[in-house]
Amino acid sequence: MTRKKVNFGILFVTPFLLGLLVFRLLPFLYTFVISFTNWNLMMGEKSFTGLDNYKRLLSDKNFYIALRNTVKIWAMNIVPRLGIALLCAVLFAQCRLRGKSFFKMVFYFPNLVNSATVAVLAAMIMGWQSGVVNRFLMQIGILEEPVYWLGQASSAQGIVAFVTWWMWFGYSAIMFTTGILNVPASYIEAAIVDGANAWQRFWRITFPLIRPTIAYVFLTTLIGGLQNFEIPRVITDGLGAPDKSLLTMVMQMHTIAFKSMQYGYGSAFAMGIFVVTAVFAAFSYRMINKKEE
Amino acid sequence: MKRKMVRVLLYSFLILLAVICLLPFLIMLVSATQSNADLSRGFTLLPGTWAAKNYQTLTERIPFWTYVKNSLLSTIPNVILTAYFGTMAAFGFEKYQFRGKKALYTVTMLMMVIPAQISLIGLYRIFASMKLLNTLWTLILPGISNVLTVYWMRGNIYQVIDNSLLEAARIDGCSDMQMFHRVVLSLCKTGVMTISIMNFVAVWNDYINAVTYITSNKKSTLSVGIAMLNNFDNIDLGAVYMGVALSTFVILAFYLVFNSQILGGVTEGSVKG
Repeated sequence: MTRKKVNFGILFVTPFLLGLLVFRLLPFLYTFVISFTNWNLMMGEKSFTGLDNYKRLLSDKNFYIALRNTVKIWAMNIVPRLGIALLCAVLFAQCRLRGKSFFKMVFYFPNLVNSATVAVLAAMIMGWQSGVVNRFLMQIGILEEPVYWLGQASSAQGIVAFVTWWMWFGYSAIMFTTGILNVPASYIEAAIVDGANAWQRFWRITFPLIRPTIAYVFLTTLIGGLQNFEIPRVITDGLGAPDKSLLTMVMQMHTIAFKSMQYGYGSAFAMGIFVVTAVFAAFSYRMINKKEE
Repeated sequence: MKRKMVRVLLYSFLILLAVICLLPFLIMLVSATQSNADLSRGFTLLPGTWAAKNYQTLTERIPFWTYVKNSLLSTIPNVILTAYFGTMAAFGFEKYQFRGKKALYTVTMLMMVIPAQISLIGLYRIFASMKLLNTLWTLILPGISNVLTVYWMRGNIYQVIDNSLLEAARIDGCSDMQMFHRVVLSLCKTGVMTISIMNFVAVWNDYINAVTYITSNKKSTLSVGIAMLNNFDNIDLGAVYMGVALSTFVILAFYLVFNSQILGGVTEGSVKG
């Protein structure tokens, strides 16, 4: 019986592990290998070129521009996202309110619509000549001329950050709600008996206890945010205009590899993104853990 | 009195957020019924009469229902593949002992840390050598390697399936394969259903894989097809809104049917996270 058990355990995990090997592990290693070649579909011949691609990466202005934009767009939406999500979560978990499930459902809905659809809609609403916002502002007399919102670096980045916030604050709110609901009610009751007000209850009890949930959400949004691709790609059709302000790291990698067909350099770019992501993740992981001590 | 003020304030806050969430969809719905002339005049929330015309223009310019069909044909097989092999692997990891199990599971979890986007070029070349580029297989097959599902189902099996139950099934003459099909899959039905609904949404909404591996318009999925609408702005505005609205309706219908599983799935993820 024991021998039989051994065999079937391996049998059951094998299809999944084979899939993992072919679709996750090998592609990663292969990308790493390609990054040391000059593989370029336009030129044919490919050979190993050592660290050439990485030297080029380090002096590539677009890499730094893309890195700065990606981090900036993430930073612009993470603060309002965590703040508003925490506030909603406290209301959902600790206040007697009507229509909670309705609000939860509505707040989460933008997250379900695919980013491409959201991006097209955002571009239409914020459009220049016939955008809804411009038409409205001109109608009520605030604007004389339509403003090209997506044509200016700062407002274009702001729009992408806002859309990202809009898609994700509900998700974070629901995560935090569960985190708070897992805090034993007796802690809160004891604090109320001791005369703590709502503000003190939040900062002294709820917040420290849901720290792990906040840390989890923070780290996953950081890693996800550094892979920002869909919305800027659809809005700018992969160009990152205006003034490269919507050029993100993954988008630039995608353009190098699949528009210019430079697999070698594109792969080095991908490894650059990987290193940046790992450094950011490790750094914030340490920060989170340090504060906990 | 002060209590009442606070309540009014809290409700206003929640209602404001709800309006921010829903207003873009309202604008989308109204605009989908308006003509180009309406859409270049002053803004109004009154519906127009051009819905049918916009729909006609949309379907003349893009094969909308072909995109929906392609999305279904890639999403459903992917989700089934994930559910079946993911649960199977979770069962193997949770209820069996074998050499190297710990190491294999650690490697599996490590793969969750590497964002899939990093390996895009490598996977593209692998699909190219398998002659799978431009087929829906590129969106279906990776379902086999869904790490999150294995992690999630392992927790589910731990909670739902008691070891004594498996012993009893074995004494009754159940083979391991039968045990998986009759005991695990049937007792974990709710868990499998929840994770599959979450996977459905994720695969349905995928953009980066579809836009990379599939270049022929006829094979495109909905998200890639809809993204192309952005290129003909200023010409057929109403039709673009109509396309966006239809794409939203599809997922809204899904949400209205499965909202408890979807919100529950997000929640359960956070307990473990």
